[in-house]
Amino acid sequence: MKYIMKRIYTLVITLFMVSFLTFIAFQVIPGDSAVTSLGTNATEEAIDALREELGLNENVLVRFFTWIGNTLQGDFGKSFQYELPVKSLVGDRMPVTLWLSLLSIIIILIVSIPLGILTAKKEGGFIDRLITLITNTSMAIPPFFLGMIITLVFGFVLKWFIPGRYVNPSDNFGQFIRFMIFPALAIGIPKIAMVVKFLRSSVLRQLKQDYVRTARSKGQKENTILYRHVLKNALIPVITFIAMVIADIMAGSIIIEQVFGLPGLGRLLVTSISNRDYPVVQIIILYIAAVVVIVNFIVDILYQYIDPRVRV
Amino acid sequence: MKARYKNINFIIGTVIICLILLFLLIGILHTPFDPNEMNGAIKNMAPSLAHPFGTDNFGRDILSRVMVGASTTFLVAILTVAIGAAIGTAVGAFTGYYGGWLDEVIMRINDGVTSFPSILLALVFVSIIGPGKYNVIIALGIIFVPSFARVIRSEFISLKQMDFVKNAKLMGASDLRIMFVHILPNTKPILVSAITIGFNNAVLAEAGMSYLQLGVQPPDASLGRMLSEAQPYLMNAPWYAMAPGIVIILTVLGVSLVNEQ
Repeated sequence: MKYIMKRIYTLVITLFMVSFLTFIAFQVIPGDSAVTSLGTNATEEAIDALREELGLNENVLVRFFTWIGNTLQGDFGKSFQYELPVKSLVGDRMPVTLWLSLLSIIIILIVSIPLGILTAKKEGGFIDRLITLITNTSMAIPPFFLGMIITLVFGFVLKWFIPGRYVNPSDNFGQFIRFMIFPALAIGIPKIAMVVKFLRSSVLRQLKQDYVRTARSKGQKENTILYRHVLKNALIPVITFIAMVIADIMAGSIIIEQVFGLPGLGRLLVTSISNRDYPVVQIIILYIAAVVVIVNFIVDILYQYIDPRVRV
Repeated sequence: MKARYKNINFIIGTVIICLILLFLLIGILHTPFDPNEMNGAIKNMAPSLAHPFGTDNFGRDILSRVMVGASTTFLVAILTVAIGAAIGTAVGAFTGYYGGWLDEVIMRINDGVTSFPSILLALVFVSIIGPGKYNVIIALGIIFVPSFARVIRSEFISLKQMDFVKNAKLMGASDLRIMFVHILPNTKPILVSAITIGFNNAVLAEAGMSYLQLGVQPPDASLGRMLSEAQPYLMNAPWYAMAPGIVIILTVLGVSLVNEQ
């Protein structure tokens, strides 16, 4: 319990620091939001009036606490470019990114865990070498290029989906998932490679332990040893690794959404950066950062349940 | 058996890297066509003898453009790693050698930074300082500092307790001399490996940023930029995207095969 309290305390501090840094980072930019939203032709008086209205004349700390207070209450401000509340912009696009991440995680887990065990079991054999070669190669492919290859092969050649024709989940959920599988694959494949590699070395390390020798000398079957004893221990470091992968997936979706033309958060982020629409950029970055921090927090807690030794 | 298998990987990796370097070198000295010369008569032509990688939507020779683009990508990656490694090594050396509260604070910041995906941090930087070749180098360079600092720091912590360091201290060597003349050369294997991994990450990061059109800006060609320009023609001219993509894959694969050794 004490451990959890300590972790929650760190979590709050980290989230606070992250939001502070995100806020400060965008204060460094020359020209403030009053100038940006009115354009360069606006009169000095008009800009001053808007500054007063937006509270830009206050000092940085006051503005930060106003901003963070509003954000916590669900008021994310207004986008310069779309003239819409940031909340509705982000809210519309969030489900797309969430589904994309979820599907990628499912694909990664389903494929990588059996493959990792298989390569470790057949260490040094043909299958092991083949899978190792494939994983090495797929780690070298930039995710967006993989996305393009998938579009070319599955979209244009095999015609399993129509590239660029995104289906809204509210229109046809089945079609939506069918479309999303391909971008999820593009995010997942390089990560599958990483997880397989990591799990393989983790299983191999466990197989060299004394308890495995004991189990063998007791006459237990290899498969029993592998699934009942080794796997439990081998999966512990993999869980931390998967937390890192989740952070990567969030980042990967920024690029993959661009490749497949998905109306998600990543695409909104990229267009907002190009258009210098800072209220939107700030919120999306804060959101992704919060997801990363919270996932790490959950993993820390999970970790100590699975392996009580880390509590010491 | 295992040693030989690793050896084969090393040889393949070296061959790939040599081929890529040769390709780059030729590209710096001479390109078959002017990479920016447009020719309306030969738009989106499939690979042929005159244009081995085909031509793009403006009738530009893709081979020449890949050559120029690859050198931009390499330049960005090398400078990025140079910045990251130089600052990271210095930070890691000082914090590892002296320890104390400063070390504690810097490492906490480090942990925070490394837990975020680097492309996200790079996007934050670029949205503040603007896109462009040199801005990407600065942004990625700074983002790469923590990973180098962490590796070098842990090396310094274990090496500073070795006898040769105590010896040097007894002989009256200054701290700076011990750090950079005695300890640093011993971190070489780890540092080299961190640099190669960093180089690969930098190539992929540059490609990603330029693909999002937030990295290298025209008229500079870069492999990522070419891929983003090629995407609309994926159906009619798939070779346009393949050429820069394959160069990226071979580079990263070659470097990681050599690194595994």
